[in-house]
Amino acid sequence: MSIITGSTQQLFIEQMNLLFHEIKLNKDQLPYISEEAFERFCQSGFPTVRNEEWKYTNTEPFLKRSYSIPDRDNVQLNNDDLSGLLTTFQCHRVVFLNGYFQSQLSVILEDDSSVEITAIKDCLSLYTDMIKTADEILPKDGWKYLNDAFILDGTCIRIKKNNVAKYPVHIIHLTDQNEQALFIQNKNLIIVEQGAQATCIESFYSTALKPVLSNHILHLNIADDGHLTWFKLQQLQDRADGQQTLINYTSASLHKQSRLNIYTLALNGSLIRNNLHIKLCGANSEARLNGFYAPSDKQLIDNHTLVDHAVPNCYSNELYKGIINDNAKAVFNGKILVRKDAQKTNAFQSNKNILLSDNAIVYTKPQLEIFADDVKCSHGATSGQLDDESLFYLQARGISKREAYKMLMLAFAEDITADIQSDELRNWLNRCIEEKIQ
Amino acid sequence: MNILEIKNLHAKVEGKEILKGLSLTVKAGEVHAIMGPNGSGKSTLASILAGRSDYEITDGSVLYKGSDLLALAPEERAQQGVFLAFQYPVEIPGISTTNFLKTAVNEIRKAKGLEPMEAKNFLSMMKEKMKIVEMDSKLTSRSLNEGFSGGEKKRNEIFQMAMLEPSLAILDETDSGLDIDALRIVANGVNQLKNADNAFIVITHYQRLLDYIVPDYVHVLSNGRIVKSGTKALALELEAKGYDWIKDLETA
Repeated sequence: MSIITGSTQQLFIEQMNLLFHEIKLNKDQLPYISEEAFERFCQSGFPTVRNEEWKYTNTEPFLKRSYSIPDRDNVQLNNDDLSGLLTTFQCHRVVFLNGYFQSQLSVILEDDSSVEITAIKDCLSLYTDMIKTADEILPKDGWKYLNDAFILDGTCIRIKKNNVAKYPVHIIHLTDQNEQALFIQNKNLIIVEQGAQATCIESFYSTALKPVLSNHILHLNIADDGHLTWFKLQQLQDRADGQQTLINYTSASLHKQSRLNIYTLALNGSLIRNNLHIKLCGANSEARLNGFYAPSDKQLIDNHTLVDHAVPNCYSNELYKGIINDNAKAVFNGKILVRKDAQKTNAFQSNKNILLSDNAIVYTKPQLEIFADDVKCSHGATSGQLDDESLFYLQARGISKREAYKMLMLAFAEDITADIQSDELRNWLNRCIEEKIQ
Repeated sequence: MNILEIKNLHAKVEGKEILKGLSLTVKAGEVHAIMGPNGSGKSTLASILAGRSDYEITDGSVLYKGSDLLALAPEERAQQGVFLAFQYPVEIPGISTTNFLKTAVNEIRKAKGLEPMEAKNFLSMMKEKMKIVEMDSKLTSRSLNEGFSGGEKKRNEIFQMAMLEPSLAILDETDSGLDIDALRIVANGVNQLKNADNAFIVITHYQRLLDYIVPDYVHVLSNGRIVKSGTKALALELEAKGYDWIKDLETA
């Protein structure tokens, strides 16, 4: 191997080039590879801080090391290894370990015929148009091109027409690797057919001692009258020598009278970048976006959202809250686009932050672009400390300062999960939040 | 037994002297009313006793059951039985009154070396104490004080007092903003909780509350000091003559 010198950008492209050549040798085992998309990646590279959308999120330090593509059968886990990661309630379970689907760890409950779970490989040709439309919604940058160039694996979940899924689907992305730094890409496609309803949880965990760079794409497609509730739970335990970087792009297409409630809980990760792009393309569709992020130490969590009101009479409501501690940094960038024809749009957005230390930083930027004239839109952003008066009130009733802090932080955070109807789901998520905030 | 002994208390806030040598002794079983014009230092006194940190004590001492009260953190004071009914109770979204009180009761028990209270006992205690202030049980499952009316907030303060069973309760203008019915309910609550072992300091601007909570002593606070003490008759005199009379007294 020749020694390469140059900028991080050049080095990263060169590194990906080597990986891509290696991958091509095993292409029969992968869902797809695309030379064309890889060529586009090589031309654009990864977005640097000179790109306005990445101004505050510098990925460079995480891209300098050399990553490997994981071996398919290198790590063996059994169900006991998963015990701490599972929900307290029954779910269909789709487990990816280091990017590869694990049939022995996954569970498809047989008494629920409303849900069809297949490998993405088997679905690509069926849903070419749907994927193409979804691709249009996402930002066209190096991370997307790279994911389009190859993935290790992925799933396609279909909720059948007019069916209500009996159990939630729990997708687990787990990384576990103690020898080498890994680069992992997945793409998942979720199809909620006409009048169907489902709840899905997508968890991101890491027990890896070495760094992992993940670049995942998720496409959600909700047909007319479909309802989908989606939870993203990002809990990537980062260790001193095992930085966990997650780039996670999500597109959602909402058709007529459909509804999406999406919760993004970004609790841990050295660097997490979420792009959540929702397109309301059918009249009377509704999207609710809730988010909570809690970076600590030197973590960086960046949430970019776009709600695109393309047609009239749609509703969107976005609430993102963050608690930023230590030397951590958070970025919130929420854009609402109301297109010319999207009259009678109702679009609301709010972002609230609590900074727990003098070195904690949040960059918050709401953006409204409105081209219609008969709309109701609002946005607001705040950042501050915990309220002293509230703290004193709790203390004056005998509650220790430490406990009072915790109560106030949980109250702040649990606002995000308060509207979850299932008690056990809400309690499970609240416990995850509580663990982080302690 | 002396519950509270304040001697020559001087205190500043943002460099300005508010209390200028205040002395007051409160014994178990007593109700003391502190009256006085706006800005005389009434709420400052309440805040200092509860442990608010915005104040600088420049001189004097406060003993609570014989020990230095000022050395304690706010939560330690509460754990030892000091209770302040806030003039402006704080709204805290996301924390229900029930959850808040359960935490408070158990933190106080923990400080006393007791096990947490069983859920069943806690709930029956809540039920019993809610009756004292005629409080709607729906309020306790809502976020603490959030969207409560002025009267509901003050009732909630007295309800909390009933739950925590303090030795020394300080009511900071609990009557302000109350209509006559709410006033009666709040006062009834206090009267039911009064016993030979505890003491009350009732801070008020008007005599009205004292028709319902009959004080053993009435003190007039003016310009940071107690300028006159007496019985309930003093409150009536103040009502009739106004506070200007006190100002004359001070300069005399």
